Amino acid sequence: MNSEQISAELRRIHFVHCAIPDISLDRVRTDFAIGNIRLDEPIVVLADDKDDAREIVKHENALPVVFLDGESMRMVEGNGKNVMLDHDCHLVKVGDGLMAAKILRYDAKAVPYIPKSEIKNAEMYLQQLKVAMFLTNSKDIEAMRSAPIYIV
Amino acid sequence: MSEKTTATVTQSRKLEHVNIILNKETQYREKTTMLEYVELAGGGASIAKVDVDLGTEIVGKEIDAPIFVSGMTGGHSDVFGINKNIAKAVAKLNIPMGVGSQRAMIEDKNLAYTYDVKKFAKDIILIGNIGATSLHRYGNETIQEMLDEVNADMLAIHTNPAQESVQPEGDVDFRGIFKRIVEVAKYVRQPTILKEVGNGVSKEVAQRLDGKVYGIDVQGAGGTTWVGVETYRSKGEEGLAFWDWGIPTALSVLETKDSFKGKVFASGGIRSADDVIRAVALGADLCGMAKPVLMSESRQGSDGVYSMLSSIIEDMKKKMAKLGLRNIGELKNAKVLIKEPLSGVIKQRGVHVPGRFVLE
Repeated sequence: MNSEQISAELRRIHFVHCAIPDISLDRVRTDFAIGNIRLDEPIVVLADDKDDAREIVKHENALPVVFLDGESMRMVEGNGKNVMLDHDCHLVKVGDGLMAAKILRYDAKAVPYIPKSEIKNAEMYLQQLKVAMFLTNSKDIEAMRSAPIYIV
Repeated sequence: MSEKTTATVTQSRKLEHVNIILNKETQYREKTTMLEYVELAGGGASIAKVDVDLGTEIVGKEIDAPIFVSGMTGGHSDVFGINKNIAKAVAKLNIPMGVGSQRAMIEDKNLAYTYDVKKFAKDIILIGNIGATSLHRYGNETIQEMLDEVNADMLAIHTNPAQESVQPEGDVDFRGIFKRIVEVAKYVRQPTILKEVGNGVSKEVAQRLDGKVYGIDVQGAGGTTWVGVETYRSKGEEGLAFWDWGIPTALSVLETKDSFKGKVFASGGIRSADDVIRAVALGADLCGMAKPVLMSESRQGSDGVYSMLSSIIEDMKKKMAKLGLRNIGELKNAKVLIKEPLSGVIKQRGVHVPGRFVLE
């Protein structure tokens, strides 16, 4: 499916609002496991290649940075080294943090990403993801993956 | 922040809220109440309108229609007139009204008069109001005093995590809030309802509240979105993604009825006699209206509110007469057809509905 088709599908998914959460928005945990690798945040920036990724990591640290190396996805760490992520996972482009939340809920192997051009909105998207977690009473990503939803 | 600064911030927020709702587009854009997917089968041959009785009961008192004016405002001298005009209108109609959050009068006792509408309508049922997140700040005695100061007959504790998430000065720590809600409901003399503010109540939350509060006002999605209101105030874009976040009113009523044995109020996007009739047929005991009342009051004061509400009541009688339904009891037992997509969502959510319902 292309981005538009994915967006259309995601619009049909509705999280069930929790009117009385038991948590604080400021304390939700967004670290995220892909196979045996743990990302600090569940939205990544997609770089063009290894060198591009290293450059982004030097200047931006809100989101993890990945690039595609053939068919595998590799994350660049702060020291410039890169690690391979679970080869079963796949990237899905997102337009906001709520969309990222829906993708994480709907597809266990999806990794939400934003293009480099959207790095300026990274903090906002992360905050939106946290709001979605708060409003579904999800203290962490694992809890959000089983938050009630319905599809219209 | 000093107490004086906090009080000032609260006051100016009240005025901003009213101005935004009156002057900006703050309705849900894509979500509806889903009441449009509810159809009634008639009770028999049509009857005369004069034979329809809309009377019902709340907190042991008789009222003349299953409608109330949702709590909206208070806490600033400029909004006192709104509450006064609404009170005069509901007194003539013998229906209840709520006031907005009374936090402002706790912070500044000089503002108590903006909520004290029983001076102008001594026999109305008045629903007091405090925010759930304020319950960490104020003890039970303070809440009781707040209610007694205005002779409130009920307490509405409003919960608004979505609004708080987008509000620039929002309180987003809900840890321990559920426990405080239950404590206050047990402590105060007046019956307590838990009220959402436009994002709806799910069956999971309703089940937790069963036996702990007198009623739940679902205030579902489909009307005014407070995420939208706060997005205008914040002048940021973060809230835009959540503009349509919430459980539609019809779905929320059904989820709550399935899990909660107390009174259920249907608010959120209630705009017409059809909306009230459908919501009551789904099982709601009362239906709350807010924005249409505010708009009527801004145009024509108390007469405007009276005229708008009485025309809805007359329209209800006309429609129920056509369906052969004599009273609220018969309306609550009417056969109901629920169409797609609402019927599909009910099945997905595992909500149980009464035998008189047919799901398409």
